[in-house]
Amino acid sequence: MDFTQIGEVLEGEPKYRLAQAKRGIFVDLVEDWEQVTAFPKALRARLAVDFPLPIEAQTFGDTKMTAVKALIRLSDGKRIETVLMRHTDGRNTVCVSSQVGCPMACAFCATGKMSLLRSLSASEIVLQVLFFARLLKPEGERVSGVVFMGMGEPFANYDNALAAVRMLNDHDGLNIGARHISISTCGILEGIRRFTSEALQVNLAISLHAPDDKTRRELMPVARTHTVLELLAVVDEYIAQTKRKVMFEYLMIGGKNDADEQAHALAKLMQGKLCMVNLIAYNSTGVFVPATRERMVFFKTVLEQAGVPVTVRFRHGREVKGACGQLLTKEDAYVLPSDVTDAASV
Amino acid sequence: MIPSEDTIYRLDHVTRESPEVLTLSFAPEAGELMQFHAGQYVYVDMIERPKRLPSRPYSISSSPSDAFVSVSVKKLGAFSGALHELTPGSRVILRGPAGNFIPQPSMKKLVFIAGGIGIAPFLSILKGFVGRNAQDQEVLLFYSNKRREDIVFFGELQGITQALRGVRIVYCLTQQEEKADEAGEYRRFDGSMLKQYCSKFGMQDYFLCGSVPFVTETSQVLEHAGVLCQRIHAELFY
Repeated sequence: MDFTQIGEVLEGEPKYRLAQAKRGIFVDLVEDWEQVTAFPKALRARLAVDFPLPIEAQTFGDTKMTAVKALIRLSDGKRIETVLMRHTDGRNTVCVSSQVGCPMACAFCATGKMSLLRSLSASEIVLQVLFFARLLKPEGERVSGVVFMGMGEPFANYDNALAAVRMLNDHDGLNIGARHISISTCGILEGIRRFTSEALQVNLAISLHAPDDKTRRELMPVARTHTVLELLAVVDEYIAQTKRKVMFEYLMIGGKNDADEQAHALAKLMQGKLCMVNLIAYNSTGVFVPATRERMVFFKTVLEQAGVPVTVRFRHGREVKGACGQLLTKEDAYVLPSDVTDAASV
Repeated sequence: MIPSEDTIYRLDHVTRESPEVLTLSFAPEAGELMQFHAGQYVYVDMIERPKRLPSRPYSISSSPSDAFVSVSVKKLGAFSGALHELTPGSRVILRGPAGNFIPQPSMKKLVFIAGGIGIAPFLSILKGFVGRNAQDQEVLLFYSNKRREDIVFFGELQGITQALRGVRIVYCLTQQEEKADEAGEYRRFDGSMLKQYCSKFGMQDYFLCGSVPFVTETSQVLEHAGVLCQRIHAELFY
């Protein structure tokens, strides 16, 4: 389903048909053109062939249905994973993938172990949200937020990721508020610079995962292209220009990045910055082990004492294998997105 | 810092470097050629394609003093395949320059390690040295390819070693049968090679460019040999 093609498919029809079609897809969330009764029968039949609406996907829910994973099959047969997180406060957040696979090869991430197969189009990113919007509709619920934390590096697919943001934000479409959309990057500096210049209120998240260059380079190949201080200088420029708070994600890995001195170094880096730190419990892949709860509490305490806003993410979605690129599906040995967890205080 | 901007360029000419690699040389449709530092990259946006592909970054392989901005593209996927189909006169947007893969003038002893088409920014940097007649610049370039036929810019690189007495090139072929009458290494860059070539040379700053696995592995070799991570500068092709 390529949403940019709908205008072409409707060529020759009255102009208002385009608005009706968009309303059908994104507002009424129809899954069959027969439900768009404003359209003549012949047009519905033609659209069913030229612009079919079904999304081919398998879903996996946890026992409490607080997290639902979907494996969506794309038109070329490739599969992507996307996760719906249902929060207790009523928010429904979709974690989207921006690429099939990922080129960045972070050591802790199973998605990184498969190389990049291809980048997703803007429509393929939006499709993931549309799928869950349809799923929630019978309950009278809607998707309230989107996080780009799934498979792939959004800033390695910058144009399409930003085009998807604009489609998601479209008032005549899914109408997801920019402030409820977050893009997470492993630290592509030029991407952050371009993002700074966008007139958008979308949130920026940075996968930091270590306060020192040595550890960060061991965990993330991209960290070999810049130092932590260079990364933070670019983020500071973003904060200065946009006045928006930045989230720093810190995956807590036992014996790797959870030492006392690393907590203090992290606090020193973050102090005084318009930011919050998200400490994320790591799901073991066999390569690394999770930090203990005590270490996470220690980090939280050190950061709080330094006046740095901090949250700790409890695992969310583990039953649906919705964790940080560590999830192998049984089919195709495909791997899942970012750590799909819930933000909550310890 | 040179400001980054979007400018329309036209493809002036294409040079075939190997069966898989083309160098595309662009000139601005109007106004001046962009200013950049050797080692930087640009985003290429093919605006004339009926189905627009998202822009992609490419290292500049020309020198800042050249009359064109050139990128050298290996045919790997949809985007590079489409770039290979461009014909002279095609319009593109070049957005940039970007990147900090730039040797500083104070760095007089440099080791460059290129994997495959990762040679592109090094060619730009070396041509810049030739343009400045930087005879006091010491450079040791390890240029790694699978096979002999994958080497690009061989003639230009040899010309550079003749123009600058401080530039030396070690060709590393990782999947090629050894030929007794040819200089070079028939293995991957490793710790022993580093020791063999660099220890007497007193090299101080290391620049690495290539695929993510190449840069990661090479960087680890350097770190294990005790090179400080502040001395290792990398550019990733992804």
